[in-house]
Amino acid sequence: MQPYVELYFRLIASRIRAQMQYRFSFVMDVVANLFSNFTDLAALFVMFTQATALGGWSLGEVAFLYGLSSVSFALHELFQGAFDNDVFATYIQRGQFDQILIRPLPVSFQMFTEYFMLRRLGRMTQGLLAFALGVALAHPHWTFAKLLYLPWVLAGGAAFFLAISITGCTLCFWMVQPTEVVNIFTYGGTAMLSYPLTIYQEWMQRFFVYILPMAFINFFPSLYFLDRPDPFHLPPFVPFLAPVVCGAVLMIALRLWAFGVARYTSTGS
Amino acid sequence: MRLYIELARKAAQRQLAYRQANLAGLLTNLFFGALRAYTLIALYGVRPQIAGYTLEAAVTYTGLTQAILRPVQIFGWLDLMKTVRTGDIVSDLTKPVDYYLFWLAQDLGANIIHLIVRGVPIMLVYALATPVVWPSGAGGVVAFAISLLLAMLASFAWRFCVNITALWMTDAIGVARLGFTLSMFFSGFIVPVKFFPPWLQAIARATPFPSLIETPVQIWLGILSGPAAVNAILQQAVWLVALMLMGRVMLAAGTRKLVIQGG
Repeated sequence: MQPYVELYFRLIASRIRAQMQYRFSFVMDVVANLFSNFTDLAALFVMFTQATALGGWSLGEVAFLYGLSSVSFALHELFQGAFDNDVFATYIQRGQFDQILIRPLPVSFQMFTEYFMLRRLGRMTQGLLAFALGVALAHPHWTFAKLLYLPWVLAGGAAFFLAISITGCTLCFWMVQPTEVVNIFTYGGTAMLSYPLTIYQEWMQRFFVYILPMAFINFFPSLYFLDRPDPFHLPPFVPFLAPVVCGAVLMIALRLWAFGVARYTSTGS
Repeated sequence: MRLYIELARKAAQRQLAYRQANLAGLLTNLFFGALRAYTLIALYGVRPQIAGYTLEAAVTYTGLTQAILRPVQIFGWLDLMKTVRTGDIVSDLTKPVDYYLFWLAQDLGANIIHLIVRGVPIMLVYALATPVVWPSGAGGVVAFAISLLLAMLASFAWRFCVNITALWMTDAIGVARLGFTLSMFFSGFIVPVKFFPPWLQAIARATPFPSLIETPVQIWLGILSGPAAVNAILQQAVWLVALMLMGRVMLAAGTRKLVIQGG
């Protein structure tokens, strides 16, 4: 185990150094990334200049929801490595995945260390800012338990998004360009989770609670953090299932991935 | 002229060939449209209208913006910039065609396909799913068509300016992303410009970006009609000319430098 940990940090450090070579364009990239996510937050504020609540949630509460899912999403983006549909689709097309297969290291380990996009700190900054604004405006009643639970929720959310990206990559073994479909669940997922789930139509709510339980990324935990009643009237322990549910989803995704890798036949070019 | 029509036709055919991608894109656009519609419905609550938009108009706005986002390429586009990096620009510049129109023709060709395979189906799905506001009368339809065409051209002119900066910078992608983020926000794509607080509206109106989305959408919805619509269309035309001139000037300055470098 330990050599892997060491190797992980070594590889990631080298990826970071590589990106720092072009300092100006790196800075521009981070700024652009920060700004491009900023517009979503700006849009939220613009909407709240026209109303005081959205589906019964205040600006602070929506910002809290939004911050939670953004930070999770940013964590996932930062650590996903080559488990990115766009990146991986070109890997398959160019036969670069074959190189990974013949190296004497576990495949998923290599996938995680292939890329480390530091510019994605932009989204992280923006997510943290949204979260801070949410906390400042909604002032949830913090308890020791809540503080202790928060990192688990964030890690769980990141695991869930990672599961979606991994599944998208798995689809690349069979499909030429599944990117746009997967985007519905990654980018579409964060966009959807940015607002209270209850504003959507009933079948969508059910789908994201019971079938693809993305509600566990931020919605159910937020009910606990913000002391809001559960609109679905589920048992009171449900908000605490988040890390378990998200972990399970990641496990399933990794299983599917392993299945895909085993079935993979190269493009042959 | 025949040459440019042929270029546009070829680009359109290429775009049409990606059936799976076009269908997947359509689904994505519809999903985001639904999300945005529900967000606005929740925002309206019991209020009949916000900033001149009825709820029905606001829902139509989400559909229409999703329908024209690809034809107008509001998320931006880096194809030209990539040719600077790969060096393909050299062979493009030596072709016996006008470089600006070479790109414009292909862009328009592909985007007309986007309009047909994405724009039209999105509005049809919206019409089936929810009450939609339609342009009023033949005048409204014609005004919208002109405004949308101007928006597509102005968008190209803006994207050309952004992409051509790559002639000066080795890695202009950061600048480009920043530029496209600005244009997307101030175009009124994410939230209508009319929802902005006054000071932010003033900033938006000082830029060409509302011409890309806000103007055609408001003409469709009838929020702009009669002389106000004509006025808005004229404004779009002025911005189009200004952006095209800027692009041409940048191209001329950039290629002079490029020749020296490559000489």
